[in-house]
Amino acid sequence: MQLELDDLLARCHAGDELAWEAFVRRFQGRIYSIAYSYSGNPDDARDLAQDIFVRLFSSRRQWAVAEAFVPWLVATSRNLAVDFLRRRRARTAATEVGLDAAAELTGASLDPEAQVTANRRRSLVWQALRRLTHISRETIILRDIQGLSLGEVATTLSIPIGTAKSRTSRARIELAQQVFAMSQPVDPPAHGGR
Amino acid sequence: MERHPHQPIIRRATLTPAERRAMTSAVLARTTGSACQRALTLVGGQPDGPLDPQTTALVAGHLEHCTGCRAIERTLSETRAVLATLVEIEPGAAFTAHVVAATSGRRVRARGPMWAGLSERWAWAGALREGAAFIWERMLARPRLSLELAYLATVLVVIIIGNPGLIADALGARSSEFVAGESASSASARVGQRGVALQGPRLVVPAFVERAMREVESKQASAAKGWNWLVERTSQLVAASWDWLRGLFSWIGAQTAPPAPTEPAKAPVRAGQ
Repeated sequence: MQLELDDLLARCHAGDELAWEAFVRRFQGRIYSIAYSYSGNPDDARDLAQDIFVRLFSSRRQWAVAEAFVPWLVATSRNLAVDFLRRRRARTAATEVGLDAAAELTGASLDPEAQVTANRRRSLVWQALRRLTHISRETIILRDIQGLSLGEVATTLSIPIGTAKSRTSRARIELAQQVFAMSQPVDPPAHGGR
Repeated sequence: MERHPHQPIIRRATLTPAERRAMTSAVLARTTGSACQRALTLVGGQPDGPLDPQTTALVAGHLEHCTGCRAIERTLSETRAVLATLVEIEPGAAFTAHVVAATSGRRVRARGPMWAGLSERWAWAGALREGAAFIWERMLARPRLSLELAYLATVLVVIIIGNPGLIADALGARSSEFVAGESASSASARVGQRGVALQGPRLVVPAFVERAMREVESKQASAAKGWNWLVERTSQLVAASWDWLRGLFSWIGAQTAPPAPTEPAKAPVRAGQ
């Protein structure tokens, strides 16, 4: 049985260690997903996700209210991830994640054959996502993976809502074209569009 | 059979699908260009909100005849289904334990901020303290902080005790005196300005070291003199302030003391009354 989010946040705010542990368990998947989406590397993603949680713990008096908490959490994690990437880019070049590593990240409980197919699809999508431009990738992460509304995407990226809408639409098509091209390695699509 | 000169080239009333596609492409190429870009833009925006019925019909008509766009639209649909499953990724069994361990060493305040019980007049002081703590935490996270602190400490040491090289020279000279078993002045008088000379078991100190020692001693003497003056002056100021405060308190006491009794003194009781 899970606590209601506002109760959980209130207990974390009051310094309840059990509530904090429950909070970590509840949101670690989402935050690790954001960290992995931005870093593209499981080890970096783990470090980044831990760093995000430590920052959240330090600033728990400034958390958003329960109604707006998840969008706020996604936006905060995104900002910390961007900071992390900026620091890492200053040190080393970004590393590409391999298909096998990407496939290992899945945790769904399907039958083996379906699991293999799902893993292949996920790894293909991850690879296609890594090939997008930074702007398109970020739009897909916030809108289609994390499920923010267009207004929340616009606020997070500090852009007008119309720009967010057009970027999202364009990014989806770029992603689909990448996935399509990668899934047909022998014959490239005979398509006149973009 | 040979074609009559007035016979039309197209004998059929309808075009084949391939011919229709070719004709559409030819017309578009000579007018607006391919409509695929427009169709795909609309397809990509469909998840954000439904299109109006007429645009929906136009997009459907394009997809019906454009295999490339149809393939992209199908791939997009499948990809979005996969993206929805990526909202959470399990980071591993030990992740929670690592995070809790990383945060358990930090101070957990169960009763809210320290200044919560203070009046609003002093809340700014608590906020100031919180801001300072935040800045301090940010500073601690900086990798060069230890280096900067070491530099600052070195500068402070140099300012406070003077040039440490002179002190070291002085200490070295004193140890040399100890080894030599005689005063540095007599030894240096013997070797003059020639520098350090080892004479058998005796280590003597050159004259410039002795000069440096004298310089340090004179600096120390002047510093001690200045310090004594500062202490004396501070004591005088404290004593004067104390006298002034005592006078002030006695004056306040005199102003606020109850008035003297106005009743007449009673007559002494006589014995036998």
